[in-house]
Amino acid sequence: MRIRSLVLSLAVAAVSLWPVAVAPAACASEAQSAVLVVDTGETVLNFCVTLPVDSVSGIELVKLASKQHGLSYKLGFGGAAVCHLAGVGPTGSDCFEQDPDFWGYWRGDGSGGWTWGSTGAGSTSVTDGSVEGWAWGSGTGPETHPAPPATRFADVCVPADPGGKKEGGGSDKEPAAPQESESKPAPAPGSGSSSNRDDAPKKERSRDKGNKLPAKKRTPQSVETPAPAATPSPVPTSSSTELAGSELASDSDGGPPAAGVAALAGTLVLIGGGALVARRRRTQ
Amino acid sequence: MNSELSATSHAYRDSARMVHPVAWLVWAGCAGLAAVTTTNPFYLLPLFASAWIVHSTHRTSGPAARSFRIFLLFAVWAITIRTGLVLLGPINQGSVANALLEGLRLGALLTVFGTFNSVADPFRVLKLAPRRWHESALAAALALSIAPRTIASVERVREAQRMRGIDIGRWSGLPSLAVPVLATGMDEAMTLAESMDARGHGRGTRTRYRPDRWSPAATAVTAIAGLAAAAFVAAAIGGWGGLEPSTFPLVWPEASPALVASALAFAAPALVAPGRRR
Repeated sequence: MRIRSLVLSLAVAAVSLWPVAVAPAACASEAQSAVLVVDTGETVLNFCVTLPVDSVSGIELVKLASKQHGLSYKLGFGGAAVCHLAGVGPTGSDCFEQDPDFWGYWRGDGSGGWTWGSTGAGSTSVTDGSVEGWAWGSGTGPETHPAPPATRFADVCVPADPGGKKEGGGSDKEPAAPQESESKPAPAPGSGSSSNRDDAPKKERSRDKGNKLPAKKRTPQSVETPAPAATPSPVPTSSSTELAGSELASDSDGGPPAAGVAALAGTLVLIGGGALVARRRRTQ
Repeated sequence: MNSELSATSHAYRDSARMVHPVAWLVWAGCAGLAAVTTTNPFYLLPLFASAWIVHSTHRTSGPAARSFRIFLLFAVWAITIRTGLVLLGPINQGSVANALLEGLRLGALLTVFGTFNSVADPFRVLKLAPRRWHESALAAALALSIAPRTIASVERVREAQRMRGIDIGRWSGLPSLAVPVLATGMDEAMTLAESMDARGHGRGTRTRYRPDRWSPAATAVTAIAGLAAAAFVAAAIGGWGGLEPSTFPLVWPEASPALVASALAFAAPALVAPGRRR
């Protein structure tokens, strides 16, 4: 009976903790964004990704780009590496399945050039104004691996307008940006390995239209404000994909999810029950 | 409760509500599978707790049960070492949390394994292996049982030393402990091999002495563990449930009620504890 009542109380605890609402999150105060450049070798995709928190990892940035702009991706090696982006790369969890080609990780140096990502994308820090690049190709170092076309933050992310509502303005400026970047390739030191550097931005522009990306490339405010508003839903745990988004958006100050609290309560109940049983057995 | 009655009929009830060794094997396999798919503490902690309550309700008497404590120590050690390894790389909140969670996963695996060791006798599992796999199963059983046997022999050597008045410190006495333990292990292995040879092991003859019965409890344990593991595998394949939470930025991981329930379901064998009620 004792065990059964323990389990019963566990169930009661789980049910009673269920409706604990996740604290409504404060809206992202000011929009922060980072640029993600995905160079598949044939196509170059540029994303202006809104950051829900001050700093995310390179991997998180890819996930955010997927959430905000529909970039397809697949992580491997336990979520620590990028295997597959924008339809290119192995779809399994072995990111080197198509060796020698793999997704090289580049980080913007702030002036349009690229430096080879020397640490894993799961442990880098992407902040407001960062530029991150992924390039498909062979070569295990910065000398041999192709780098994405030179890209500066302002080429992709239109500076936030104080008015904030200028969606048309965003897409107007968008085509203008690559012109800027076309003048840049010369100063970029690390990007001389490929001859298609200069025409890449044009290609990108044309593909972008095909992928209806410009529609989503809006100013950060217009992209992100709806997401936190969805968070205070009382049963956020039922839909995991939705949850992932709202969690990320809300967690600068949110508590654990209700199911998580229930999990911890269940843990405590089981440990307590186990200790009780262990003591009874010892005294018997 | 009437303790005499429960004491006298203890053995009977034990056999009636005993969970078949193969069911334990399935339980441990499923719990281990669930542990390796996730680093989410909201799933790993209930898994830990489930293993603990199963151990405390089902542990056998004898040295094998004591191995649980050793595996628990191993688990703590694994978590500590894994977290300590962060010092070799870039240190920030996220990397420490990541290492901690990966250590937690290792620890959960070790705890599950320790539970299996303490609730099921590896040699009873061996007995059930199909004949053609007998030799590989034997090797596996020997590997499985090395921890409990070593612990038992450590205890014997310690006791022998105490009885002879040799009171040595915990760490300084390590060499004088290790040598007899290794020698005992060698002797035991030889004895085991000889005795098995004498009983015709590996020659295709098998004993039917004291067959293990497959009880309804075993069916329940197997089914529940299988379902719970299936939930984790489905989540891993489908990519839902936040199995590998982000540690950079460090946020509260999401928790899927289905997976939390699955992790807690591994405690189900506690409901059919032998020698408990009635």
